[in-house]
Amino acid sequence: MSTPLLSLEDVSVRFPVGGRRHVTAVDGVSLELCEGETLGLIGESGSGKSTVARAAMGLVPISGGTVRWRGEDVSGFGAKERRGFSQAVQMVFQDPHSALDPRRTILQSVREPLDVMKRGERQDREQIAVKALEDVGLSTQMLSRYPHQLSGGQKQRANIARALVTNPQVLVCDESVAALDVALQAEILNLLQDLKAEYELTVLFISHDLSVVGYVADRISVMYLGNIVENATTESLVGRSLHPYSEALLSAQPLVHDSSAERRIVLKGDIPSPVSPPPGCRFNTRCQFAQEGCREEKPALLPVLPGHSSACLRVEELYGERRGKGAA
Amino acid sequence: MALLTVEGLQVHFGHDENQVQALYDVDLTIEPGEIVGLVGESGSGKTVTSLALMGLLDPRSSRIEGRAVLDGQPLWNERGERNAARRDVPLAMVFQEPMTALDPVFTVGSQLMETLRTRRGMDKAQARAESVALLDAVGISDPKARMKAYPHELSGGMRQRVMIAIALACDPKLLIADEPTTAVDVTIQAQLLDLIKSLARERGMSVLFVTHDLGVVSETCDRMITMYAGRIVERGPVAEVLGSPGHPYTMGLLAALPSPGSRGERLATIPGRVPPPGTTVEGCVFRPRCPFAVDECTKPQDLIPLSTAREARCIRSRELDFQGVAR
Repeated sequence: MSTPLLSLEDVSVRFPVGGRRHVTAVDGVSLELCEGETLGLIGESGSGKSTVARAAMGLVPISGGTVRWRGEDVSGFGAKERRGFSQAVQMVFQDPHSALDPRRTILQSVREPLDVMKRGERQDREQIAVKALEDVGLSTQMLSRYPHQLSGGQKQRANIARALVTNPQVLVCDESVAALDVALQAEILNLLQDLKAEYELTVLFISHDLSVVGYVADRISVMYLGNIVENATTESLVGRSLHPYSEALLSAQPLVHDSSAERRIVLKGDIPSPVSPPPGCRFNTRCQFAQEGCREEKPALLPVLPGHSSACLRVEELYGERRGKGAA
Repeated sequence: MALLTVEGLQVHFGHDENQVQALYDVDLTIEPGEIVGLVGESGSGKTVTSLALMGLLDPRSSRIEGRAVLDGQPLWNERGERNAARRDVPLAMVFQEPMTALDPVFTVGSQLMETLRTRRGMDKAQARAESVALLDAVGISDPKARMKAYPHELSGGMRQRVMIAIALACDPKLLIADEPTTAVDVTIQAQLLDLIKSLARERGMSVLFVTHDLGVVSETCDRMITMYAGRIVERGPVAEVLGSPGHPYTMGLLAALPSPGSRGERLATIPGRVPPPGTTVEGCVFRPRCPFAVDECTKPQDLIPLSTAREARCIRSRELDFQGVAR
C-alpha cells in the first residue's frame, strides 16, 4: 500500500471537565485514509466519531499521537503548509441550516473560504464559487438567496459546494445526511458519489446509520467510547463482524425486508460516561459475552483476518478466529 | 368496534384569502391493540394529523372539519370546537424531542405526579407511588432515585422513557408516538421500540406510530398508512404494502433506502419536492413527480381497494407491478 493520504497514529483527545478532571473523548485511535477510498466511521453518540474527524482536521488540539498528511506530521507545519493542508481537507457538517450564515447569501457563503485564503481576484473567486454551485446542482437563481429561502436539501448542497471551492483532496462528511428525509438523503448520497468521481475525492464518512455507511464506504471502522473496536472492509464487516458491539449495532438497525425480532441483540442501558470509562474492555458493561478477564485486560485492536481487525479478547471462542493471525 | 374512527378530516390554516389546506379528507380507523404506522416525508401531513387528533392545533389559526370518535367520545363537535371534557379522553402523545417536551426546571417525578394528580385525581402519596411504578414499567432502573432527577441529568433514551411514562400516566387507550426514536441512537431505538411494543401488548393499548423510517414501520407496525401532500395515498398491512406497494410514492420511498447490498449502484430518487400546502395540482397530487403518470392521472383520484384490507390512490396500481422488497 502506498503512503496514506491522511493518517492518525495513536491519537488521543482530552477535554477538561472542571476540577482538574479530564474526559478522554478519543483514546489512542489509529486510522489510515488512503487515496480514493471512502472510509466509514460508525458508533453511537458519545463514541468520539466527530472528535476524531475534528482532530484529523486540526479543529481540536490533540493531546497525544500524531496526525500525518501525506506522511508528514502536521504539527510541524509552518503557516504556508498549514494553509495548504486546510485547503486540502474540507468538512460538510450535519445540520445544513446552522452551518450557513443567515446574513450572507449562498454565493457569499460559498465564496468565503476563497476570500479567507485571499486566492486570486474577486472575480475569479466568484467564478469558482458559481462553478461549484453548478456542480452540486443549484441553479444560478439560488446564488443571491439567503439560507432561510432554501429547502434543507438545497442548503446541504450549498454546504457541499462550499467544501469543494478550495479543490480539496479529502472530504470529511460528519452525519451529512442525518437531518434529511429518505428521498433527499438518496439525492445527496448520489451527489456525493458523483462529486467523488469528478473531484477525485477521498472521503471520511461519519454516521450512526449503518445502512448509509454500508452503502457509501469501502472500509468501516467501528468506534465505542473513544476506541476503535473493529476495522474491516464493508463486505467483511456486514457479512461477518468479529466484535460483539458491531454485531449488536448491525442487528439493531431496523430493516424493511426483515422484521424478525429474533435477529436483534438489544443492548442493555446507555453508553457509559467517558469521564469514568469502565476498566478493561470498555464494552464489558453492555456485552453479553463479557467474562472476568474482560474487566481486567484492555483488548488491543489486532488483525484477525486479512484486512479485518477486532479488539475483543474472546474472538477465538466467539468467532473461531485467532487474534493476531491475519496480515495487517 | 374500532377504537378510533376518523372521517373526512380536513385542516385549514390561516384566514380568508391566506387560507391553505393542510389535510384533505383523511379517513382512518384504528382497532384496539393495533399498531399503525403513519409514513411520509416532511410536509406530507403526518404531524398535522396527530396534532389535530390531540387537539393541539390552535383554534385561532386553524380550522378542523370532519368527525373523529375515540372510544365512543367525539374529539370535537360539528363546529370543530374541542370537546370540553377532553381531559377524560383516553389519548396521549409522545413527542420527537424529549428534551424540549420535558420542563427543564422540574424533576421528572414532579412532572409525572402533576399529570397523575390533574388527570387521575390522585392525592400526593398515591401519585408518588404510581409515578415510581410507571418509571419501573418503562424500564428505568432505580425509579425511586430517578424521581428526583432533572431532565438534563438523564440520557436521551432515559428521557424518552420518562416521556412514555408520562403518556402512560393518563392510562391511554391510544398512544400517538410522533417520531419517538428519531433523536436517539440505533441501539437505544431498538430498546424503545421493544418497550412500546410490549407496553401495547400488555395494556391492550393502540399506537399511532408517526415516522419517516420504513425500517421502523417494518419492525413495529401491523398496518401502515402512507401520506403525501395532506392525503392518504396508500394503506394496508405492513408486510403486503412493503412487499408490493400499491402506490408509486410508497415504492419511491422504499427504493431510496440505501443498503450495503446496493453499494456502487445509484439510489433511486423521487424527482421534485412535496408541494407546499395550498398548491393546487390537477388530478393526482403525486403526478408531477410520478414516473408512471399518464393522461388519465389528471382526473381526481379516489382510494381504490386492492384487496380486503388494502387501498391505494392510484388508477394504475392494478395494471402496474410496483417494486417492493422481498421479506
